Amino acid sequence: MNAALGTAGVILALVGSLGAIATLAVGLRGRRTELMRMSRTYSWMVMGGATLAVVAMERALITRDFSLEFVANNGSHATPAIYNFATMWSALEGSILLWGFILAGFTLAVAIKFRKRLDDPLVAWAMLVMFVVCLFFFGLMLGPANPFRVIANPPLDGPGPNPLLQNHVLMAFHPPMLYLGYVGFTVPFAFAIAALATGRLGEGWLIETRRWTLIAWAFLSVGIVLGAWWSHEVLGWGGYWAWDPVENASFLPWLTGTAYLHSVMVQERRGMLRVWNLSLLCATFALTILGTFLTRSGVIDSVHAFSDSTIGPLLLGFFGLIVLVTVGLVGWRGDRLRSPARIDSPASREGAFLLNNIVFAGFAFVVLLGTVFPLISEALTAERVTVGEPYFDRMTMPIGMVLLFLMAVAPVLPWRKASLETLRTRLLWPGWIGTGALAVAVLVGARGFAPLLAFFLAGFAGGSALRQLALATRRQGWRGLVGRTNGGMIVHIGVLLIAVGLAASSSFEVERDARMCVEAAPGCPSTITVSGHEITFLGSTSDITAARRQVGARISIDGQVHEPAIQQFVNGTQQIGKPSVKNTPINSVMLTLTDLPAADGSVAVKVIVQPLVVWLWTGGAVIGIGSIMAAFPGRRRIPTAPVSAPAPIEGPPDGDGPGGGGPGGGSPEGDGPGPAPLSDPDVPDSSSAEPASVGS
Amino acid sequence: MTSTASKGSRSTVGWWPWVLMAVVVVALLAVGSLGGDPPTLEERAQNLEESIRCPSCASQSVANSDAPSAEAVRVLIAERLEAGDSNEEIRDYVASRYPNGRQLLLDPTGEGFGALVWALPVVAVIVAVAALVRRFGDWRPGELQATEEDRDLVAAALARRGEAGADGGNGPDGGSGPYGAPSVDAAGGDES
Amino acid sequence: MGRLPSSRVAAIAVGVVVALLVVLLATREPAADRKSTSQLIGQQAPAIGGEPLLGDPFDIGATDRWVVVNFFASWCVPCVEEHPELVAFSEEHAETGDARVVSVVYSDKEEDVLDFFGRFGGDWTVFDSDQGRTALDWGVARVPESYLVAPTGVVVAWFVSGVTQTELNAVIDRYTQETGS
Repeated sequence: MNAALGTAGVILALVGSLGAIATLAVGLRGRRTELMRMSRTYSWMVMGGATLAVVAMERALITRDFSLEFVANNGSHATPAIYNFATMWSALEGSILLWGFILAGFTLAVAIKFRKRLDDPLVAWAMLVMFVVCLFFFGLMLGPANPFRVIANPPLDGPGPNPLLQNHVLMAFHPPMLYLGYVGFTVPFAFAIAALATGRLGEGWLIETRRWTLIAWAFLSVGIVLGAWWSHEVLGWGGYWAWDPVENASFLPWLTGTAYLHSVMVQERRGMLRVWNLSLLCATFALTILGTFLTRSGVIDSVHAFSDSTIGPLLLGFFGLIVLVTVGLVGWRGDRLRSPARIDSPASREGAFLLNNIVFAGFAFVVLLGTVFPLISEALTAERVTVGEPYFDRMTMPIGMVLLFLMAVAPVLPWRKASLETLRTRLLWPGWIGTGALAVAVLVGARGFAPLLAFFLAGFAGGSALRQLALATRRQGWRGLVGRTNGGMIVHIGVLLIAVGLAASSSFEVERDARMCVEAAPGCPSTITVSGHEITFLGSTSDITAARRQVGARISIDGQVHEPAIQQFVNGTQQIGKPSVKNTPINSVMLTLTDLPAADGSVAVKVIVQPLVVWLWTGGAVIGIGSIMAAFPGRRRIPTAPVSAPAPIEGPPDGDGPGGGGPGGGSPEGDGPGPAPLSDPDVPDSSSAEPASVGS
Repeated sequence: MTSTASKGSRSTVGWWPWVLMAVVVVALLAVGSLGGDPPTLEERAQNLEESIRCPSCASQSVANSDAPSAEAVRVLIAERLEAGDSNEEIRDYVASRYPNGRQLLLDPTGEGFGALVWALPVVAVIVAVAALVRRFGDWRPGELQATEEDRDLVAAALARRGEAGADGGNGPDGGSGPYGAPSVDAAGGDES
Repeated sequence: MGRLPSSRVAAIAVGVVVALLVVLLATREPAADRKSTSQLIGQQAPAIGGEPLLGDPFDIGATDRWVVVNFFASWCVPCVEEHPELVAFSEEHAETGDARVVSVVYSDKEEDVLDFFGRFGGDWTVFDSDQGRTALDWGVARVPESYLVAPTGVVVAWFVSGVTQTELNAVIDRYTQETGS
């Protein structure tokens, strides 16, 4: 029943995609607008099919329908409801189903958003690309990644998902967030291909998709941070990022996506970097597919890898196809993309963005190289090497420092050209804030060149971001927090929180292993002090449910009782540590049991104290909020209004940020309509760079 | 931030506050990073543990794993450091013990083919910077003058602006052509 | 970056690099299938350093018999599964006296080990783990692993995740034929 429903859903979605592709192709060929408009119906059909499939899968999981191979392999009677619901994306086939569902959702969203312009060839091409991607994923679900395969002799119970995936609630949110990000990049990619195919290579398509890109990016960012948080809370080794190939696979599109979000402003403002932006978008999408391949093909050793499957070659082929099409189209249309504009000075907003892009591209190159280097080495020298954390840490730290520096300087740079006087004036207070941060760090005892430099630069960059926000809010009130530039500065603050958290928690970690007894005995204290935190062992606990056996210890940290434990799931042989973390804004204390409580009642505890870990998760939240602010719609704008073109005809109220935007959106200093009411030293020279102000 | 506003003056800041800041920052960095003792055995052990993969893990380092094999390597590292072995000797010993032991070393050594993974990014950065310098090599600080060509662009853009205003949109080209942007900036960026 | 001399050249260059990457990825076999061999094969067997928990002290260097060195833990399911095979092998060769088994504990508690042998049988020498040193000397990453050491003291075979009586005898037979004839 569930299998039939689900398969019907997948087939419906597949047929819908096929129908849409055929209809759109014919429509585009013959310029038949009535055919192009049909894509909306088809997208409802694909969405309907995908929804049906997801409902069938969830129904099978909830009713424990073990006649489905997927449920038999991953479900179990003992799994609690929420993890049972999340079981869908805990294994290969279900994760592809989730992917297809989200993709169908995005396709429908595009069809609804552009419902009035579906007969525009640009939109029709974009829809065509979306449906091709849909076709691929729903095709996978009928082929090697079929989630609705039936088995002849259903078992009475299944093993349940991997125990590590069912002891923290974050696991229910991290994969969907990540997928919303991955899949979201399909939309700008589709429009980029559409622009190349139609030859409408102006900035129109870019404007259409920038909010989509931003939203996808925000989901990806939050998804990555949630993954790090999960790993910190669950794995119990005090880490959150291990440069594992699968982590890298999610980080690569983030890097290129971030580069794009910056360089796109140069294109909007100055019409430059067109090939580059197209390439970045296509690379971002291609990298999400490459990441999916790396995760699911088993080519690379990874703690995250899904079980082996035959899906690998198909994903690799799709990746190759994407790159082939992109490269072919760019090569074909490249000449049209040349822009006569050029950068006047490296000390300008666009110069900084260019540098930003080079650094991000370099970052992505390092990560990609490190990830695939073992394979390259094996292929060319027959010796397999490992490229792990020390490599990535050493290579990316200087890159991170350069990025922090750019985040400090770039926000105050005007377009075209900055004078030294401008920089000196605008950067003075941010500089002192950075110095203050450095002084505080030295005073509280932080030592080491790299972390101190990071604190200084982060303070500096934070000062620049706050300066922008302060200027904008003073001029515009609460609107000073929305719009791309201002929202972007909030995102910067989130990134800086993460940077500081990274530097502090990795450099100043204190770890202590101890055996503890309730009654203090020689060599077995009942209270220890780690980094000023008093840790007292109160007693053992045990808790046995149908799903698992849990043995734990009640341990107080500064008077607050925590219960780290070791779990043994009935269906698994593994014992799984369940750490307990006490978080404060200053530091996090993590308790892990390293062994089952001994016969004499003593326990072996590992205590890890890391400063500023909470800043990482807070930073993730701030990035999310900042992205919403940046995507916040300002005024309505004519969708096709040329943006790299001259000032908008509407006149002076140009630019309350990018949301309402117009060409002025990118400039922080340009947000003031008309003469600035305040005697701010920044206003004159910046507003003079604004065509709108000149016109008013 | 508030003090920026309260100054209320348009005068630009001279160099002296920056010189002062530079002195303070350098002093603080020096205080914070100099005068450290040579790494203790414990610190060396920690670094070594972070650079060796736990033999039974997929990618976790010995430092981050509670697997028995990681524990064994930790014991070995402590003993060998105590005995006075160098970091490389210990790494080589561990690598010589296990099947495919070189794979346990998390950072490839800078010899042979493995050196490429360190060198390639550096080469890429140099090439990128060189390409940029070649491309924008004629950057001259302080010089920003409109050429005849710029003026033509301005004229063209103004003409286009008129057209765009008339039909309220744009042609199938999706933008107003490549000449839009620079012309505006040329018109507006006249800072003098 | 945006304005290379010709976007076509750049496109071709990118295409070639990516094509190479695709070929590279396509020709890799899955990580799980990669074979590895113990570097001990053909080498003199390392000493076993721990204290015997069960059975007599035993020096692997001073024996003229085949020795199966078995690394195990009581918590390891495949170890439980392979144990009857080792018992059968041990009993088969006890009469002729040409081969014996020794076990080395891997990250386990003494009482659990004693319980393990009490329950599943086996009367050979069992060494404690010597804080993991023995396992490290032999290059054992995860249990069960077994090594077959020839009477000459040279390691001739390595078995991961379980060994059977038949496999052990096959190696011994092949080896004696090769050297005997």
